[in-house]
Amino acid sequence: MPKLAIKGSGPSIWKALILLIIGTGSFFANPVSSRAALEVATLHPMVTDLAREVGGKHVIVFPLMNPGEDIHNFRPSSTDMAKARSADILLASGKGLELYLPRLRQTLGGSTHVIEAGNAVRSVKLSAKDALFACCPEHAAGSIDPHWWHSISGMKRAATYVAREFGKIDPSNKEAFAYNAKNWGKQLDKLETWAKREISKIPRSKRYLVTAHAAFGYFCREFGFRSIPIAGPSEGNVSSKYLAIAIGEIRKNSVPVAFPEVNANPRALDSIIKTVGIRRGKALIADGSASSASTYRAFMEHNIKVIVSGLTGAP
Amino acid sequence: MRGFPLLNLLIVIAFFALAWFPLQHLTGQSESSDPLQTQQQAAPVQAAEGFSFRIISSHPLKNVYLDYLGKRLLTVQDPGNEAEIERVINGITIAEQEIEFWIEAELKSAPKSGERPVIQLEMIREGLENRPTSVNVWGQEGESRIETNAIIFRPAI
Repeated sequence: MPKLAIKGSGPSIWKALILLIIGTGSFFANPVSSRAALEVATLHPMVTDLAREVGGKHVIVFPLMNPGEDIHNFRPSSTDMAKARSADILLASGKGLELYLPRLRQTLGGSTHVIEAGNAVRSVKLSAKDALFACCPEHAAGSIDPHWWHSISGMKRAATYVAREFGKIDPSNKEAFAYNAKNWGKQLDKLETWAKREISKIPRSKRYLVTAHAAFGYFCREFGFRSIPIAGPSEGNVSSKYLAIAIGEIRKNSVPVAFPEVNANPRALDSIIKTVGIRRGKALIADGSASSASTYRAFMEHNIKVIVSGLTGAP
Repeated sequence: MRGFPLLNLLIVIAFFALAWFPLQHLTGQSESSDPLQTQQQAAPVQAAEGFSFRIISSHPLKNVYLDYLGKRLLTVQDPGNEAEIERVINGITIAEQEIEFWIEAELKSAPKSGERPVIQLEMIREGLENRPTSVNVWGQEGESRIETNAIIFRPAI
């Protein structure tokens, strides 16, 4: 083979050429892996935890909503919109919870992938009767309960789904996402076993959950409860018709306790408690957002302990 | 009585007091009553009965436990070669129509990969031996431990 003679070059030009070819090939094969991690902006504290568990070290998570904020009244600010635009992924809870999401999608254009974690979960639909007690008028009109995170099996499905979606956007880490989701799924299995064992202490005929608003549909479906929400659409707007129905159900079923909610005004519930003469339990976390329980595990453990102690009378 | 205003007042107060306390009790709004206790007292009293429980496992068992409402109902350790474990428990009160047990079981060895162990729990009410009710509960693939709830309908006439 004839020598390639370039005056004054030597072997360094060949090395540089080879490195250039390899680098270019790598870039086109895996364009995303040239970045350190996927940037994921999240719209709900529970999906923030989900993103961290599934993404692991391959994601950087930017929560746009912090634990303790009101999920029904949250609207992204211009700073939030800028963060969302610069992220690779916007991870929403979905099922119509984020009423501003269609508008936000339009603003983002195609630059950010939008994933709705709740798409993986079979919906609880509100019947015409239950819609009276939905969390707010917009969600009552939509007839789908958006509070899917109350279902542990739902969260497991969401983890698998989100892992698959992350993997489409970052194929080089597809297996890592799947592994993380499976691992977290095993931890959620243990949480589910513990939850079912605790709840089995409550007789099935006594499983009535009296709460401020209709946020526990998925929990009730999963653990064999019937929901009796008290408040109507919003504070100060509790209809006497709603109250009468709720009081009737509580008396008919001899429900012993009602549960207020963290971050909610307990006025309507307290008046029911006083009228019917039942106990006031500890506060539940209804909307998945509490500064005292920022992880999914902490949130579920809190609620289950409160419900079991409230309905069994145990301390 | 005329001329005795204080006495009249005392009689009126006594009358209302006599009417008030029974009414408070009837409406259930007395602050001293415990709602849980009131609920239990209002429920029809269920007599204690005898039940047989039959447990059939897809894999040999090392031990099995059955709990009801947080209390241990049945313990079977090292059942040996019993293909079907049957135990009678007398003097228990199960008033529910839908009964939820908590079952924990350990197999003698883990099932093969891809295999899921299953346990059938059968409940027979004394005097209704021809009407057993049962439920199957499943463990996880390849795992030797089963921990789950088991919902069964009360055997009825």
